[in-house]
Amino acid sequence: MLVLRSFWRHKELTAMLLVALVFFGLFRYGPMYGLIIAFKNFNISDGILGSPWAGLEHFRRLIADPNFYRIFRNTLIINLYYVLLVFPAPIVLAVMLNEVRHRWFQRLVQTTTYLPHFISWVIISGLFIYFLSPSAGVVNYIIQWFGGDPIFFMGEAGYFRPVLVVSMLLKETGWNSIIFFAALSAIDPQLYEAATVDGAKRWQRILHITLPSLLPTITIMFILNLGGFMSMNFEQVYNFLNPLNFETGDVFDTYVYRVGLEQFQYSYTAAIGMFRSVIGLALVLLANYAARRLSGGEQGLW
Amino acid sequence: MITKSRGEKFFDVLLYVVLACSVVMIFYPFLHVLSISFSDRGEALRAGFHFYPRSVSLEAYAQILDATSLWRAYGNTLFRMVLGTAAALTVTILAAYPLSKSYFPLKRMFLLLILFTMLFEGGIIPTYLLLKELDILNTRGVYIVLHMANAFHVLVMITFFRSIPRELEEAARIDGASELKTLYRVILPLTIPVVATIGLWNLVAHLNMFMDNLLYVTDRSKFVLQQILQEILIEDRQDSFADIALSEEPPTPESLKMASIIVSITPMLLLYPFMLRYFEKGVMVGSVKG
Repeated sequence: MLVLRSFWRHKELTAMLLVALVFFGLFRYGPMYGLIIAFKNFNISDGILGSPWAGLEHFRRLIADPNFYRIFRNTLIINLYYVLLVFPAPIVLAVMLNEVRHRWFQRLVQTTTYLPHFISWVIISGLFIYFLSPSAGVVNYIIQWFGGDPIFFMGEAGYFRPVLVVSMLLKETGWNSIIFFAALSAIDPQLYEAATVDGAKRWQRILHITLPSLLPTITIMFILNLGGFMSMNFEQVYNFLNPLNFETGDVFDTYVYRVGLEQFQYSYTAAIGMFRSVIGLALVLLANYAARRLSGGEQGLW
Repeated sequence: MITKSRGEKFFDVLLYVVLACSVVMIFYPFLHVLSISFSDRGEALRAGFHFYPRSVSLEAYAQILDATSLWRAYGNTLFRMVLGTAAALTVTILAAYPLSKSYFPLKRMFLLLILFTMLFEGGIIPTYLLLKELDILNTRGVYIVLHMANAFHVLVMITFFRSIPRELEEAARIDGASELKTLYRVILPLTIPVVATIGLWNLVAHLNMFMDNLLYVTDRSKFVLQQILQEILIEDRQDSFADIALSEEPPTPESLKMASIIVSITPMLLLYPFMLRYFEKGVMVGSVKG
């Protein structure tokens, strides 16, 4: 009752919040409620509530489905590539930028490398496909110039993940370096001066001053990255995907889209989506717990 | 003056060369795209590097001017950029303002309720069925409503509201202004930088978003720019260019593709200087714990 009276006293604020909560309820919690069709045999005419229950049937089917293992494996492997190859790149870029003494050159590199972040995956992928084309692509032109044979990058499953990694590197390295670069500008310049006076070489200063100062930021970003291990950028993967590289490139969302929306297997693909979301939630919670433990309760997502 | 050793000089050269290479790697494709879009048939089909068109043709742009489905898609994208951003900002402010007040009842519970949507989602199929039940599947409204509730934006907004001195608000309240009026007259003018930042996040997301169109809208007249670009660039279809057959010197598909890219990234390039200013700040705001 006390709470109700408190709401009434702040009725204007309450009204504001309620309006906003309607949208969170409808478009964020609404789909969560719709997940119950993963436990039903959904058909359009009966709707979400009216469709008959199916228990765990769809989850049993999922465990026996080789396609499920394929998308699960691809998601994990691509994410592993990202952690190993894409994650360190912005750190290296930030450290390099920090060593640049000409302000205009620093700005030039930053302005250019941030730009691809703002361009859509449709265009980035379209350009990659164009530049990698075996007939007219510049990349194959260079390969041939060195005497090699042209490679059909988008037609061979083995090239899918490397293309994904390189495109992600080009699009996001600059942008992701901002947070590390900002951490670097907080370092006391006296540390560098003192080290120089003591005769420290450039690489020694990087090794003993720059990198240790970055370590807290790197740790937190790394752990938070692990929390996203089950997710994949749909727009990136979808635009590079074709039947020739399903084997190495098909992931959760692209599979759910193809089988669920195009072949109308709503309940089954809802079960697949739910599996992904639940594991993803567990990973984020775990990552946040780890981040808190490591930073002594200082940092974490919340 | 400390003289640099040979090793240090080598390090410097390496540093500048590597960074210059990364600039070229990003800059060259733009040059290539621009050059091909202005090239005539023979030049566009020539393999190798393209720094400038050796023989110019404006035919690709002439075709684009006549490509009605591309311009309609452009219109739909502008529509969602403007309305989608306005709607999302409104919801963000309405959610964040009450929750930034220390005295608001149960604010921690409400905040958790909002934050949970960052961690868990219903996914593609349930969202599809929800839009179907609401009977808004296949409408332009899909583009707007799906992006109105954004927990991360609310979090950033709350952080900002909290940094405003309480005295300002109290003064307005003593003068008899209502909560809404205080927000509108006193608080919002102070939050212009953060509103601009979140607004630009929304604008860019709406400009580049393609997934919601692919999944939930099948009516061609409601397609957004990225969906049409996907047809042209990735599926290699030229149905958007109806007049090719009528042209005396039809441009190559490559010129058409590259000209479409140029036409569609122009608004972003115009916004880019503003974005740089606000986005860099925004990344830092976002890293502040809520």
